[in-house]
Amino acid sequence: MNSQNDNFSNRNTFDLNIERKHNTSLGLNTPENYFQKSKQSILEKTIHEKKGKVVSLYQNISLWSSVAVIALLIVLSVDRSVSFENEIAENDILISSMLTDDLSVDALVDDYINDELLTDAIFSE
Amino acid sequence: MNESDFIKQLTSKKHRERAFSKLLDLYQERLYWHIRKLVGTHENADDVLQNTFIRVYKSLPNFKQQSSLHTWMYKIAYNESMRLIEKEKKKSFSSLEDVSDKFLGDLEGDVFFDGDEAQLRLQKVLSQLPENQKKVFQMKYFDNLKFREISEILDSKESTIKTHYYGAVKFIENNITATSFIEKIKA
Repeated sequence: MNSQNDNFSNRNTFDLNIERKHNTSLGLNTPENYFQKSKQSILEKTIHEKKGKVVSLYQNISLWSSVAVIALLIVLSVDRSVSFENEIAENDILISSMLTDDLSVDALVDDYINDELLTDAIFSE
Repeated sequence: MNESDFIKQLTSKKHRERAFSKLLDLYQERLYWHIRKLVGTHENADDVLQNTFIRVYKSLPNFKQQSSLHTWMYKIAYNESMRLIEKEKKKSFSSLEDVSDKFLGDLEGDVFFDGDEAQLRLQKVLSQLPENQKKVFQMKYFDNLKFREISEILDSKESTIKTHYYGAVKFIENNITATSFIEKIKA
């Protein structure tokens, strides 16, 4: 051990003296058994820290559930976009009819009825 | 066992656990007191001590032995303390006077401070010192560090460190009436 570390050999005396000095001159204290507890805590965070990343079953289930939900949402949104397009077309006709004036609608209905009657008459002969 | 052998043990898979436990036995208490004076309360000192040893543990494989293990560990503890102080400063205050007031306020509120009038007076006088003088005085008088070691920790010339120390001693002499303490720091 070199001279830089001459404190290594007389640690207990050194630590006792340093603690006494801080207590008597500065009034500083520590909780009871603090250094023992602190050592354990440091060892748990360093030497005894679990190696590698542990992925729990719960995390796996969560992951696959999330994937399934996302897939379901994609399928539903594609399907809905197709049926939504049809709905838009139907809605367009309804909206258009509301905006057309009554006379035009009556004329259209008359023409349709006349055509129907004519068609029925031809096929009934 | 010399220091190089000890460092080899600290970095070997086979001996690491035992060697690191020994390192904790050797340095935990002295680093705690070193940190405690810098950060004030026990709670802060506990956090910084834990962070210091985690950093030491992670950095040991890269330790180049350009300084002694002793100085290297104090330097890590010092840097971790400064990191916490900077964080606290940004959070709540900015001026130097505020720093001193907050330090004393936190100290008096700490359940692990039971100083009497004389001890509180010394703490107040220390907190009035310029930051560099205060750190140097604390490291020399309370931590028993050598001027050369302090100069390595603070990245400063040894002559500058001595100037700071004697400046601090003079200031304390002029502001403390407890002659027994004055005799101790002049010894």
